[in-house]
Amino acid sequence: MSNVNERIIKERNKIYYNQTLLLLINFRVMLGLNNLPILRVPPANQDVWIVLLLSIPYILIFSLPLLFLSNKFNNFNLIEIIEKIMGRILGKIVGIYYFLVFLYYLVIFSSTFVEILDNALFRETPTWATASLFLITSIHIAHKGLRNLARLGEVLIPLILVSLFVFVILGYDNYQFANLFPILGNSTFKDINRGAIDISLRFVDAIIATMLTPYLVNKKDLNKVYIRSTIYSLLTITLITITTLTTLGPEFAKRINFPFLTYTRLINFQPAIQGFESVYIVFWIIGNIIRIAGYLYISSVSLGQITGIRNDRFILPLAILTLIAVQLIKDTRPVLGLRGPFNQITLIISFMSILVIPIIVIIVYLFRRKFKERG
Amino acid sequence: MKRKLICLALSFVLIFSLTACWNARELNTVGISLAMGLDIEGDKILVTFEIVNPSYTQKNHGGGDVGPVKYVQGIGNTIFEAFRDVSLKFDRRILISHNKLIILGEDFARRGLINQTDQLFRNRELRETAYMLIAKGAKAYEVMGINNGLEDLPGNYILNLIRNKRDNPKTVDVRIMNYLRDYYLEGIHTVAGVVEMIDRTQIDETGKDMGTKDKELTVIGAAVFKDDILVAYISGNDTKALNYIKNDVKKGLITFPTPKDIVRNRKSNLEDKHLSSVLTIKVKTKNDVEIKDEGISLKSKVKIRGTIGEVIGDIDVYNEEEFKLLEEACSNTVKEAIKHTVEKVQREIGLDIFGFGLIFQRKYPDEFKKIKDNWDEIFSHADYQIEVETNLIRTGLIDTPINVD
Repeated sequence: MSNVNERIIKERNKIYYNQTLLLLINFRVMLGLNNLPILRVPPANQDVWIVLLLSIPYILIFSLPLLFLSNKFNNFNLIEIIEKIMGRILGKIVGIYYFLVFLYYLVIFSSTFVEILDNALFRETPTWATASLFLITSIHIAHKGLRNLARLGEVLIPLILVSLFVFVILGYDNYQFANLFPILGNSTFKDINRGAIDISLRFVDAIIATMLTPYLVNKKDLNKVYIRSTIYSLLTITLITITTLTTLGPEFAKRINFPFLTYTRLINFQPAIQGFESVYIVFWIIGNIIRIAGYLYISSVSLGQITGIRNDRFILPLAILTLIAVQLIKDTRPVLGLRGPFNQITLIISFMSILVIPIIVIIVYLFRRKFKERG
Repeated sequence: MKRKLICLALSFVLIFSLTACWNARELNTVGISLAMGLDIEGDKILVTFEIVNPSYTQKNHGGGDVGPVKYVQGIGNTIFEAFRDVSLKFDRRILISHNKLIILGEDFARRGLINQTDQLFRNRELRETAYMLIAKGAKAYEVMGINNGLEDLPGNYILNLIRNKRDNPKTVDVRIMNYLRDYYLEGIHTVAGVVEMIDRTQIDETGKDMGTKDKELTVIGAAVFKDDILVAYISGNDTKALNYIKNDVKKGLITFPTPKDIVRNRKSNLEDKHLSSVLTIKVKTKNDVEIKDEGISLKSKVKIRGTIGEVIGDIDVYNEEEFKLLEEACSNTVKEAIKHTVEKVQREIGLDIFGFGLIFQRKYPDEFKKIKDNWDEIFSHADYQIEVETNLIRTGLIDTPINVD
């Protein structure tokens, strides 16, 4: 891609602080909301909300290498930064790795979303039909560019967040706060920290933040937007987790694939006003589509970076690839319903992408700078 | 131009493909189930559905003899198999989204619920808010269909009986969600509602069939489970005490002997049993568990706020002193009743259905880990203390009883 084209695309896709904040919050909240993975990580009991709160500093610490790179090179996205530091060939190889990471997340999120839709709405609809529906929507959104995705998020994400708070209030009758006790009575310090590390590695949005940095109108907002989005989103998920725990109890909640969906099914006002889950599903779908469209866009940008071709040309092929992958995965096995390899793979990939590779890149950068200064 | 043509073609395709939901089920193709019964027949599971008859309303007006509901049954090795068996006998697909009641036959409940009912929770169609009842001494299908109320639908009749708990706490209103939530907790045993067939004397306006027996349903009492197996029933009064301890009483009636020392015997016979009643407005219970040298001590502190319902006897509630005695008498009766229930459950059932184990676990988590397997044994021998405080805040439309000069 020529530098002029690259600059034009970045100029066209300038996004503001609020928009970036909302997008990052949505990406995280949807990840936490879909199947509340926090309920299954150690200590997997009534103290998991403490684990969530503890994961905030862990997320911020784990994001430090990526944030350091983004702050140093705030006009470039992660793949450009790596190419600059590691050199053309090695940079391309690492770039391909990150592209594959984005694609992997895109496929996993899409497969999860198909599972949500299969269970919540379209029980008998074939996978290809369900996946096509949201992928077509995502293609359209991604094609319109980051700025339009951010604008869409600016309108819809506040609605999603407000709806979540409303659901939390509406289900108050079913709360049993005793389910949260004894606080820290059955959990060890080791368990809580293990859980916090596990959960913080699942929130991979630090990589997304580094891909969005060059599009920020004010680059200095990066740290502020990242820290605030982490705190706001984790607090929202903590609230949802507490709500679910108090309503369903820790033991039953962790057996449910979509605990917050079950929670919304329990909201009712006697004798006949119920079915609030339908409203929740609408917001859930919107949130997930924004997230999938975001990952599709970022995947196309990273591929565009590697190949030097305009990113929008890759949106459709990547969506088709995702559709095929989702079809192959979903017609073979459940994604959430099995404590299978996806969890382990995701954790290893996150660990490599958030910590190992960025630290190596920083070491190389510091060495090069040192040599440059000596030279 | 090319772009416009593509859009037009796409819109044309969409018009035909987006006419409705995929696999939409129209109302005239489904049978809406309001109540479901589960029984054991031999080694198999028998499922009974109470299906709303959509043709009832129109035929009823035309003088037809079609009932408001139909009952369909299916049998199979599992609940799912039994569900599918129904499709071979009933023309419409059963829709259980509106199912508000699950009645379990006693045999079924005695075999254990959790292993057998997995399908109900895996299936998104069934609402977790459905009430769960055990058909005491009967099959579920035997109690389904009995309707002695004004409701057209027998399912709604039972549903309203359960909802009447708000006025009479001699029953429990357990939804399948509550049952599951409690099932996984350590330190409490689950209970479920009971539905029982009882004889009812027919009152016939023609006078011909006076005295003949008919059946009606009552939801008095509760069923006690050990793990997921039905092991015992408790009476209506014991259920009321259970609800008091579990802080699950909204409104209710407390009937107690009018304090004797102030019965003046002005207009009534001293030999008469003088009873007064209090209507509860609010009941608040706090439970506690303490470890003492001599063992574990269970405690309850009940605060009742109520209004005077009726005063029989010569007590003058307009008098502050006598008013206090009335409050004390009410407290003593509640205290005795609750204590009696706890001791009876400790002695006869030996299972902690009150949730003292939960409090112990929350208060002494480390100690609970050591004794959790023997908690029921410890509970059975624990000392129980109760304090009751009654505040009567309203006297009704009259203060001095009508028989007091």
